[in-house]
Amino acid sequence: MARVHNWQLGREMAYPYEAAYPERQFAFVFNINRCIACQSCTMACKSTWTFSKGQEQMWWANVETKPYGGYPMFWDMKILELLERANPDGQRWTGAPAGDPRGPWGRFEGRTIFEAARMLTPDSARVLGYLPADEEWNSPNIYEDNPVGERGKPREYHKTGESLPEHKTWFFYLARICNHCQYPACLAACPRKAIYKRPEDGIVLIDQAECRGYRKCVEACPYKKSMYRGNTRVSEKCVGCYPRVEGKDPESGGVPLETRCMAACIGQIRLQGLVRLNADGTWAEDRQHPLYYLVHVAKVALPLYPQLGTEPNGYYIPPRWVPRPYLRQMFGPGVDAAIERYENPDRELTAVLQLFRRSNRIIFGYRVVEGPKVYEGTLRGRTITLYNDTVIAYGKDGKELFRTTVEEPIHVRSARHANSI
Amino acid sequence: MPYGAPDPTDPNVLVGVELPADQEATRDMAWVFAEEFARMGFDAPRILGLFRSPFYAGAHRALRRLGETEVAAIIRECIGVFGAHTRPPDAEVTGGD
Repeated sequence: MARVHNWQLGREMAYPYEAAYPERQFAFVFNINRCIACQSCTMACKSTWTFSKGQEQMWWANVETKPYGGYPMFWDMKILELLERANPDGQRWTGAPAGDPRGPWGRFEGRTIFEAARMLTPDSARVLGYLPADEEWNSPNIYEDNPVGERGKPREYHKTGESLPEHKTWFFYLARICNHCQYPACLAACPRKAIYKRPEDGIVLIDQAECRGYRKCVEACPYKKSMYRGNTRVSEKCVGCYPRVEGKDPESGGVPLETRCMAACIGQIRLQGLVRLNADGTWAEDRQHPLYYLVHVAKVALPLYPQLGTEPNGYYIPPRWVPRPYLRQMFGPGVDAAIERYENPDRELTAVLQLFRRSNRIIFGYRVVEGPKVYEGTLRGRTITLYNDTVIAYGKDGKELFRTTVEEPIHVRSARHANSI
Repeated sequence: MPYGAPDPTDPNVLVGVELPADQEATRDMAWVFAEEFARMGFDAPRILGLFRSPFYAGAHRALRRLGETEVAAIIRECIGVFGAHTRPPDAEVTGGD
């Protein structure tokens, strides 16, 4: 195996192929604090890419309820459990979160799915993983917000939603798509070399002509975002809406558009971008890029299960109310600082958070213009000062896409004309 | 799977997993919902409406657990901070028929 540098883990790790990095990388930030699981993203993706025969149980974009939900069922618990078995009590981080871009959250001392593969699987296996059973794929979200039906009445739902049994604990909604990882496990596992990472934007695709449906990618992807299609006998996955990202969508007018799931998000939790990379795979400094700012400057957005080792490009602003040990397991050691910063945003962070979902054009840069102070007081005992700053977003060509203020006016469509677009 | 009683030998079923959950977690959740929606421009009645709706399970559960008086106070405090100090008059903000 080759040695590659995984900056999210702060160290080198084993990977089946030599490192090769794209010119820009497809990446995104989801603010979980705002997700209400409306599933608009899920349906936008479904109605665009996976509405055909054979794709009935295929959800490239999904929203699941944590801690007890998952699609496929228990995907994260299962891979974490396999890693724990391979390396009992060894899945730990050392050091402390610091400013080093080659290891901003310390150093992961445990084993990744590439390093643990030999311990539990045959020598031929390149990645530690498992193949979910059919029943784990076929009921996304069942029993999450609406747990079990009445006993003795299989496949019968409660007649009225408001009387459903419920899980009496904290929970949050985790929106997921393919992370278009820097070191994709699907790509590493494919014996046909049918999976490739595009040099221009880092989107990971399965060549449908080369795939023979061995399902090694389904087994290997720890996020379970490669899916097998029975009627074509090949595997499929999220394509990052690449025609939109390329600016070839008829609506785009040649300008890079965000994916369907991003553009459809009514909770305004999503921001997508294309970030520049250094020769060693770390993010190139791009101070006025909103994703660079959120991940590397404000440090409020964290990768999903970085310890798995694939260097995912999906970043999350963690939900503030969830017990920290759970969040540290899910997002790594940067959780405490991220929540602290998000709870006490400075002027720039407050302004940048306004960029979420103001446009379906991909933002390549921003600028904040200071505005007047509009409020000073306390919130839960904390001092809050609010400025009505203006944030201006710029596109690929450097032209202004839009501008918005911290206190943006809202207009509510009347109920009579709710869908009169 | 889940139609019968949980089978403790089924490795796919969460058995004996303890999740830390107390009144504070619920209270924190209520604060976050109220603050996020206030930041997005919702006014107090709309946020309270969200908490009252059983279909927003997390918010609704917080309302039932904490009571409407406490949730309304939380919303008031959030609206006090993020409640659009520069916005035009109510008519334009609330709208609706």
